[in-house]
Amino acid sequence: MAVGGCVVLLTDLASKRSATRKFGTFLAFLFCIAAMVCSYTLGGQLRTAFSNGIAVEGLVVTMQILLAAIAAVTIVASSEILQSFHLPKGEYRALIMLASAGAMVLVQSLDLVNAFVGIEIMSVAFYVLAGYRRAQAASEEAGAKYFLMGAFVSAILLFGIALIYGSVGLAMKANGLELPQGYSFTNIVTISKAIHQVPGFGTSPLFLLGAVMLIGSLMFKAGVAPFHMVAPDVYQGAPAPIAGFLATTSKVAAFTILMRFFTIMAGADTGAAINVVVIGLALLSIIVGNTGAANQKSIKRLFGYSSVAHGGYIVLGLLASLGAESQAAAITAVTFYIVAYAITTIGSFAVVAWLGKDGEDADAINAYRGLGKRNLGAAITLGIFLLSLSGIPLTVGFLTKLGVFMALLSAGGTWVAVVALIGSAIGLYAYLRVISEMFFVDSSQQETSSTDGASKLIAVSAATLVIVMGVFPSQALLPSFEASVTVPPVSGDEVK
Amino acid sequence: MNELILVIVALPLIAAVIASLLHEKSAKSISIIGSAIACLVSILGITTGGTIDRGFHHVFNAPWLPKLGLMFSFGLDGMSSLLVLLTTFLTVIAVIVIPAPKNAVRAYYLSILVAGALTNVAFASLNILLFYIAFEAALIPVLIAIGMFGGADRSKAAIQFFVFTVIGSLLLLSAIIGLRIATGTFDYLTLKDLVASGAVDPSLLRWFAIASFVAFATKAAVVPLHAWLGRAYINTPTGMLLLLSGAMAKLGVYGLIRFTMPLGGEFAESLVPLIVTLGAVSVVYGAFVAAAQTDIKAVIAFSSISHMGYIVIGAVVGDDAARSGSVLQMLNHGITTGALFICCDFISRYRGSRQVTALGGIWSDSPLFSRLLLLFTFSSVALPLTNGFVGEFLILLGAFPKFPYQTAIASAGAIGSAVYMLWMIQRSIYGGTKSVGSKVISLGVSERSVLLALALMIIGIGVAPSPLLAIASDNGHKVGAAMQPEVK
Repeated sequence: MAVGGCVVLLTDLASKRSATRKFGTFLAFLFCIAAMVCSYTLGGQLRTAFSNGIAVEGLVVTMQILLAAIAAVTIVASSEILQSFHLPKGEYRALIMLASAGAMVLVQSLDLVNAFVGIEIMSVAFYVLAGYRRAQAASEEAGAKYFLMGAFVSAILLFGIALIYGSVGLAMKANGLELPQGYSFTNIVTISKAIHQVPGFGTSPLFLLGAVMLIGSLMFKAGVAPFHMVAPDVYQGAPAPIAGFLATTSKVAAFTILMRFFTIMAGADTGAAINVVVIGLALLSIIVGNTGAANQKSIKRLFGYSSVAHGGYIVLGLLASLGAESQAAAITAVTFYIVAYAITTIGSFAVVAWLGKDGEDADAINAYRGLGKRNLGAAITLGIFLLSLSGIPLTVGFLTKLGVFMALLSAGGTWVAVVALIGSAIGLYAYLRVISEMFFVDSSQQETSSTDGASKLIAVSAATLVIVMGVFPSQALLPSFEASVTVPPVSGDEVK
Repeated sequence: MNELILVIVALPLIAAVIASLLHEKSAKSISIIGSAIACLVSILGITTGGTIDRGFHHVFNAPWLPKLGLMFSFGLDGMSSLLVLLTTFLTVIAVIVIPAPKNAVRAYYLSILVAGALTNVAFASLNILLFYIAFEAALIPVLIAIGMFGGADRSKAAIQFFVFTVIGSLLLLSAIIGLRIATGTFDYLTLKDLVASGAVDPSLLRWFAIASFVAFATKAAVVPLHAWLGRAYINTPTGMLLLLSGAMAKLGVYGLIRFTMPLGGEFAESLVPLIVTLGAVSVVYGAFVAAAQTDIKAVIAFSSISHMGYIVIGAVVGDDAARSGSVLQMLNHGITTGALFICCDFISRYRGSRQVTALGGIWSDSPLFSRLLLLFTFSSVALPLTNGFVGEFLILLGAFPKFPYQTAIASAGAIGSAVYMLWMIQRSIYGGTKSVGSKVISLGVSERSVLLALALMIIGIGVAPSPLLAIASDNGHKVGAAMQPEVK
């Protein structure tokens, strides 16, 4: 699959020399579809490649299809914006596809080093994309901030991986455990073996330090507090479709690898350290994200804080996957949440792009005043996304929150759940404010017709999906949500 | 015949969808037809039988999301069949009598019909998660109605109403999920049996009792969780207000009777004195605040807090007579307060103001209207021969042996209701006409018939309440039995 991704990119880079914009978009779109089809045909069987460096199975297939879909949608949605801002199109498409390819590598990877490679590919593309609109100061600022923070965090990530490498190697040698044929010390399977079979390894300071660094830096990439400071700035500075792409792809990729990592830690004695860290991160995100969203004047910043809060809910689901009994429910819940969140976020940013005038995104919340009268379709679409983000029943947002809370409560985290619910209520106010501006307040603004048909289509389809998935999720179009994270068993190992 | 509930719920929804798609002129007629048929069918719900299961009739089960445990489980008993009838009836008269705002006719009817349908789902639901979903989702049409068609303060009112209610509901959600994890089911009847047999961890039941009480007390506007009601009711358009005050506030009390008491175990028992005291406080507090208002809509709104206080007392006190009285009073409150809000709407539209200082002289100008209004006032004050008296008397009678002090306070509150209602009526109906250029209130045929029908119901229930009480108390025994502490 990674090979597929590269081929796509190379061809795309070549195609940027083609004359018309439409042709290039179409070509890129075609390759994304091809990637989706390839993923789908690989099916749910577990396969490994590159000396057990990557593995493809059910969950990976789902995520890859999702990533490819996000990339396709973003490319299509961005045509208008690129045209209006006179931004180079070929590089843009290449960057989107490169970022997705990096994300796919990350999702497939079984070895932490491969994961790092994937993250770097993805991140570098992100840095450029965040600052893509070079003429605007806010965009440049966003790109620069993201790059600096991101590079720093990548270094920490690498250091964490190195620590884990060292600790695993030392532990295995010290306990006379054999390195399985064809696996390296940084392979998830090996780490799992070490955790489960070496007594006291899970609580050894070297490993814990490495693990915390790993988790922390991945959380940054996903936009979780307290590493979230960059997120609202980036989402506000970048043009809407790019912001949507960044928000969703980073979360899909980072949370998938975290899910793998957490699953192998389940049931083993890792002491309280990891639990405390994860709970802290989750609750902080939920509280910061929801309160931060409450008084925003810019809708893209509001979505930025909202994405921090939702990252927190996903982390709560991950927390539940640490407990042995709740693991299956937790994995299903987190997967469903990621998919549903991706759809909702892409849709929300598509509405922002749809309502943009003269190439400017409709960013100020005041611009939405009286939208219910001016453009009922857009208002209803955005209203559906806002209700879903608040977790109101009949939207998919409710089912996702329900899933996470059920998994969390069966793992025993009662007070955590209560705090999260309260945070949810706070966030409700933020979303209601926008709904109120749209429907309940009159405004004398004139309606200008939108030229961005692609964004309109994407937004409306996403909104429909949100309602359909909210009422009948089993009929949803995506492959099964009964995801499980399978890891190839090694002789003597029983790892799932 | 079990699909009755589906018909009752689906008809208004289908009518709403059709009305939204067609031209504005036909929206009203289609809505009337849909909701009227639903109302007639809900009468069938009381008179016919269907499948019976553990005290519920018309039991119906269909899967929705089986893996989550979410099913379309419906069933009716005495209390819920009466409440469903009330909801459908209020929906019909709301559509008939209150004219829709000119700028968004279809959205208006859509919100009323959807709100009514979702409330009925909640009343008839035997699956706790389904109840919760309907409970929450019903807030959306109300939010839209208040925000789009409401009074001057509507934006703030809508948001305040929504956030306040949702906070309580989220606590309820956590308790519901907790129950599911402990017992593996969302099915109400199964849960009731499990709790009664002592199979569920008491601390979980304690959390359920508290969380559900907070959620339902907020919905029913029991002091001190009543703060949202004043601004919300005043700013709600009357059509939606009929449903909001008449049916959806009852969801709170219904939740207490149906869920908190049976599923809260012994801890719920120990909450009863607190709840009764808060109910009595609500009665008096509501009366005091109502007496201080000069806007007639505000007077009626705060009187609602007062009346709900009685209903809450009767609901939890554990006496059969009181509970039947409470259920009856829920019906009565819906009828009476609905009638009062309708009259208030007429006054506001024709006279141009809702302030008592600007009104007067209606008695001489509109004889039928003002006499009917007087009758509705008597009902609200619980004068004998009106429906209000029967309900209130039964509640106080049943509550007195166990809680004499609170009952005494609540009875004193009845005097308060006479004070504020009669005062309001005196200043707004009698005397000379104050505002120049306002129109005389004249009632059309449909409006006259609706108000006369309401008046007949008021007197009818006041004089011969037995049939309704019999229906209401067939449930009284079941719930009462579940509430008795385990006899070892």
